[in-house]
Amino acid sequence: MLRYILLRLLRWIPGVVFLLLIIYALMFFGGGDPIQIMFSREATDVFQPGNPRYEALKEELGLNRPFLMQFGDYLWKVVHGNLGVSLRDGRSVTEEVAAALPITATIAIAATVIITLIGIPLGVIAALNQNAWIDNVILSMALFFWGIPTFVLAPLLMVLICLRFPILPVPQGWTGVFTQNAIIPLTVASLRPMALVIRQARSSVLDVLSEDYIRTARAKGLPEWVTIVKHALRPVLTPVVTQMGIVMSNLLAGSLILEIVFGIPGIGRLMRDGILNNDYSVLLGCTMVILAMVTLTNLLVDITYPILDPRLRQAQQGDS
Amino acid sequence: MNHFRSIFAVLIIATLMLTACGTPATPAPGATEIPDQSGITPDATVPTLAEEKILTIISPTVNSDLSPLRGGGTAVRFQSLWWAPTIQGDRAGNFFPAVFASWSSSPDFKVWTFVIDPTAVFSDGSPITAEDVKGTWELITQPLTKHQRVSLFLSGIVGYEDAVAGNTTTLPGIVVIDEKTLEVTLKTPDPVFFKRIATNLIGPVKISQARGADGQEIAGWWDAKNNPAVSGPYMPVAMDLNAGSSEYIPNPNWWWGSEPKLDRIKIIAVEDGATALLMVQNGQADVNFSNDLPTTFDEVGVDYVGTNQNPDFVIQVFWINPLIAPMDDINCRKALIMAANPVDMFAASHPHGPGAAGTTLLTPILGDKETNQPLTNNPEGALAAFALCSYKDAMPKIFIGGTSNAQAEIAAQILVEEWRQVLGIQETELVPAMDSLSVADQAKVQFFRDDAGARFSDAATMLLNSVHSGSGAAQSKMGHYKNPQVDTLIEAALILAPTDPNRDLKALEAEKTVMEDYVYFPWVAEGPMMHQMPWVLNWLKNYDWQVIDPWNVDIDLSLRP
Repeated sequence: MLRYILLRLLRWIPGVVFLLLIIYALMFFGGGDPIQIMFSREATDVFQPGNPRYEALKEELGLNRPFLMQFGDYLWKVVHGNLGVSLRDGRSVTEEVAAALPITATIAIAATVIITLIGIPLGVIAALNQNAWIDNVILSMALFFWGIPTFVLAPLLMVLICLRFPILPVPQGWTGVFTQNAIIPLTVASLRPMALVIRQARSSVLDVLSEDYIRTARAKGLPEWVTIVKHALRPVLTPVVTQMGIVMSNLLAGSLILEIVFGIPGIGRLMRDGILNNDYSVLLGCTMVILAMVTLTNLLVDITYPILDPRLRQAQQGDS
Repeated sequence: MNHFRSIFAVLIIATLMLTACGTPATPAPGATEIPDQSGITPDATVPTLAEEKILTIISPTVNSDLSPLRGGGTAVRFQSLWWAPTIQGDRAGNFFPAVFASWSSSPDFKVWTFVIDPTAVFSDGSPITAEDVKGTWELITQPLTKHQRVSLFLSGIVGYEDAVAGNTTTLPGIVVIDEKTLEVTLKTPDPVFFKRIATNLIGPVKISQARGADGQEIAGWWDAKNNPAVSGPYMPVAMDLNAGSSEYIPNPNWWWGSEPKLDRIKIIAVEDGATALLMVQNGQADVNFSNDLPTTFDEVGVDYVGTNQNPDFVIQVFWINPLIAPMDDINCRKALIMAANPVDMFAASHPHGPGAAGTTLLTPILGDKETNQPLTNNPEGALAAFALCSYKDAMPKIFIGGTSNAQAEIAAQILVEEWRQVLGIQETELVPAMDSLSVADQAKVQFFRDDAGARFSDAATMLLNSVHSGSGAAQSKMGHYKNPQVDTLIEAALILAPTDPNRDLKALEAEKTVMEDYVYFPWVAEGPMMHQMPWVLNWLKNYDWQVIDPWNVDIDLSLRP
C-alpha cells in the first residue's frame, strides 16, 4: 500500500509540471499583458507598449524575458518553496494560498460530512421504499436541487431566510464552520451534490438488494435492519465513495460561485482574481494546490476501496 | 462491522477538524488585529454597544492592496477616510486649504510655492513636512509604485519624464525650501496647477515609513499591523487583506476639520450585487460603493441612488476609432452619430437618473454659457450623410466595446436599434469584455464606451483629458487620434489664466474642431451615485468618488433598523 501511495504521489509531480507549463503558456501567449490589464481601466494613456513607464515596469517585474526563462525561473522558485509574488498587489502567493486553502478545504469537508450524513441515509430510505411516496418525494427533491444552479439557489435562499423571514443575517465572509454565518453557504454547497449522492446510493442499494446473498440472509431469518446494515450497505458504499470523491474534488476546485456570492476568501475567489488580472503566480499557485488536493482526495478514495470491499483487498494482497 | 466503525471514526475526526477550523484562535495569515491605538480609554469615549456608531461600507471588490500610493482601483474611493488631501475641492468647484495651508505662483505660472499647515500632523503626532510631500510625489512617479493617475497631477513638473521611466528616483522640479515650504517648477505655465493637485490621491504619506533606501516603496508599510502614520480623520486598526476587509477608528491626532463623529468604520468586500443589496436592505451595511442591480432603485429608493445630486463634470461617451472601417469614412461616422438620440439612451439606461443625457463634452462644465450644439438626433442629416458613406452598400459589422455594465449595455442596445431604424444597419455586436473577442476581432472594435472628465470645472482640462492626442481615450479607444489644430488650441487655452475669457473660448473652439471630426458620441452626463442608506448623514462624494469632509459623516441611529 505504501509503495502504491508513493507511486501515486510521484506521478503527481510530472502532471503538475505539465499542467503549470500549459497554463503558463496559455497566459503568456493568449491571456493578455498583465501590465496592460493592471492599468487598462484607469491609465490607458500611460500603459501602452512603448511608453517609458510601461517598459520600465515590465523590466522591473521581469516580464520582458523570454517565455522559457520566465517559466524556468518560476519553477526554480517553486522547487524552493516559493510560489512567487502577486503581480497585482505584491503579496506573497504562498501566504495568500495558505490563507485561502483552509477555508475552501473546511467548506469542502463540512459539505462532504453533511452530504454523507444526510445523502446516504436518504438514498437508502428511497431504495427501501422503491416507488412509494417517500421514494418519490426524496427523488423529486434531489432532482429539484440538482436543477438549480448555485448562483440562483444562493440568492433565493438569502432572500427567503434573511429578508422575507429574517431568521439569519446575510452571510458574508467566513467566520468558521460552527457559526451562523456558515449555515447558508454550507447548505448551498451541500444541496446540489447531495442530489447525486442520493441517486447513487439509491441505485446501488437497489442493485445489491437483488443479489443472491441478500436473499439468503433474508431466508436465514435475519432481522431486516441487520440484513441492510450488515450485508447490503457495505458493498453499496464502494460506488458511493467514488461519487463522494468526485463531489469532494468539485467542492475543492469548483467553489468559485459560492465564494463570490458569500464573499468567502477561498481558493476559488483567489484563482478567479488571478485569471482576471493575468496574475501568473497566483493562478499557478492555486492550480498547484487544487491539483494536490484533488490528487489527495482520489488517493483517499483509492485507499478506502480495499477497506470497504474485501475482494479488492484480496486482489491487492494477491498482487503483492 | 469494524469497517463501519472506521468510517464512523473518520466522520468524528472530520467533525473535530471542522471544530478546530470553526473558531480560529489566531487570525488567518495576512489578517491583523491591532489593539485600539487611539490612546483613549474605551470607558471614557466609546459609548455602550447599543449606542456605538459603526459605519459598515461595502466594497464591490476585494482590496488586498490598500496603499494610498496607487491612485486607482476601488480602494481609493475610501482613501479620504484615512488620508488628507493636498488641497480640498468641493462639488461647487471651490478650493480650500488642507495639508497645504496656502499657495501662490510666479507671474508666469511656472513656479508654484506651497506652504504646509503648521498644525498638520500624522496620527503618530509627527509633523507633516515638505520632505514628506516631496518624497511622496517622487515615490508615486516610480514605475514600481504603479500609481494609476500620476500623469494627471504631476506630469508638468520638471524631471517627471526621467522619474516615470525609472531613470531616477528624484524630481528636481520639487525643492524643499524649509520644513513647511515646497517649491514646484513646471515645464510649461499652468495657471490651474493648484486645482490639478487638489486630490486625496497624492496626499503626503510619512515618507520615512513608506520609502526604502532604494527609493522604492516598502512593501505593506500601510498595513494596519505596521502601525502606519496616517493623516486623515480615521486610522486603520485591523486589516484582513485576504478577505478585503479593514477597520478604522478616529485618529486621536486629527488636526483638520471637526472631531470625527463615528466610533468605527468597517469596510467589507462583497462582490455579488444581490448579496450587497440584501445587506443594505437588512441594515447589515450602511453604504455600498457600487454594485447596482436593475432592481436597486425599486428596492432601496431615491436617496440611495442619489438622484438628488447635481451632475458631475464627467461624461460617458462612445469613442470612435476613425482608423477602422467603416469609421475611416467621415460620412459614415457622421451618419452614425446623427442617427441616434442620447435622450432615448439615457431614458432607457438611467430611468431614475442621476445625471442627464449627453450633449457635448463641455456642456457639463460650461453649463449655461454658450456651448457648441450637439450633433446627435438628426435623422435627416444622418440619411444625407449615409448616402455619401462609401460603405453604405456593404457595411462592415460594427463592434461596440465597453458595454461591461448593465447601463452601458442598455444604452448600446438603444444605439444599435436607432441605427437599424434610421439607417437600416443590421450587423452589430456588443462587446462587454475585449477578451471575449478573438485577437483579430479586437482590432475591429470601432465604438468603445468610456468616460471623460475633469476633477474640477475647467473646460481646457476636460479636453486635455479626453481628446488631446496625449489623452488615454485618444491613444487607445480613438486609435491614436491626433488633430494638430485641436492640440494647439487646447495647449493655448491651458496656459491662460482661469479668469481669462479666452481660456473657455479656445476650449470651445477646440471642441468644435473635434466635433467636426465626428469621433465621439455622447451618452450621459454623469451624476454621482450615493449608495448610502437614509440614516447615513453628510455622505457627499467628490469627483474621485471619495467622501468629502469624512469627519462629518454620521449615523442617525433612530432611523437605522
